[in-house]
Amino acid sequence: MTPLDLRSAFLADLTAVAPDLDAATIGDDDHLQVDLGLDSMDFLNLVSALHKRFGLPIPEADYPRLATPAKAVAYLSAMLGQPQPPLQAARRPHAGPSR
Amino acid sequence: MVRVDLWAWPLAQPAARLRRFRALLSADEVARADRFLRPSDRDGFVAGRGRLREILGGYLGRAPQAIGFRYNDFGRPEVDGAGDLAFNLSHSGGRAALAVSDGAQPGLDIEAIRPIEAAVARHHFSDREYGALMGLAGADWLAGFYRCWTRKEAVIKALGQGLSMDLKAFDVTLRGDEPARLQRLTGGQVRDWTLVHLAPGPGLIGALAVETRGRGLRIVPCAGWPGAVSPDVPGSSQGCGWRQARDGWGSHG
Repeated sequence: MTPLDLRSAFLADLTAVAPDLDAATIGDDDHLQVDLGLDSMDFLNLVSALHKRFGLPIPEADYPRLATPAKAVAYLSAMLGQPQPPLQAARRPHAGPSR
Repeated sequence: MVRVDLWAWPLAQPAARLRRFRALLSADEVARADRFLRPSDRDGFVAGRGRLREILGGYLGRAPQAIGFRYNDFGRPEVDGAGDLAFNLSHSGGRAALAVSDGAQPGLDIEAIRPIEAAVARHHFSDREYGALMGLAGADWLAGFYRCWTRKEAVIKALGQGLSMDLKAFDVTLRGDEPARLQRLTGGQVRDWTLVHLAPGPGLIGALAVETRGRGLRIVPCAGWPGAVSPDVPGSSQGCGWRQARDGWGSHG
């Protein structure tokens, strides 16, 4: 899978556990808890979905490596033994305090 | 004796109250609120922090906006200069819950009961917990899952660690017919801990964890808490905010 494929898969699992998030508005550096408002149960569901999709163990010590879409893609690439060209960072289109 | 006061409030608040809460927040809290992508998360954060400041201000005899928070390595907020006062905040299903204690760090978790796949338990629960859970079925299974998870997260929060703690390093009870209890803790003594099952409201399950170290635990339901702490712990008519009982709190803080 390419990094873009991994990003799409990650966002698909992310929006499955938080259906009112719009994948198009999520930036690669958005933090799952701080920016996207995931709670602990959402996060457990996400880890379980990624485990199911990729067949990776994902131990608790690695959870910080899933903190943002960019970090997660890098982590999944590394765990799947794939090269990691950087993502073209997707910025949140409406980031800023004016929301 | 360790005393823990339990408070609760809704995160959905009228616009005027949200504005009032927002005015109580520090600049970094306002910035953090505005980072949320979803307006409901932003407003929930403001309602959670604003009311937290009001309540803690009552204990400490300080203006809500004068309270300073510091954060441990895992992001758990603590109050600057609060003496023995310790607190822990949790929110789920549109409700916030707060535990305030005098001398032992409480760990509090509430969760709205929602469908969950068994794979989540397989991945995050210990073998002992998973085995006990799989002995349940239907609604008992779902309640058992949330009893287990809230107890585990309450312990993690009392220890001040995040989800990167090894979740299989300890076992908790989860069946409805046995009391909340820590059964195993790698590197610790289970007898030092008290776990309490909480009933924070309709559709919610909660747990409180306190490292009581042989001391008793007295729980007092305060404003917003729906009656009894849980079916096992009756409610109390005593008021909250025990500054009067512990004269000096806040004065040296």
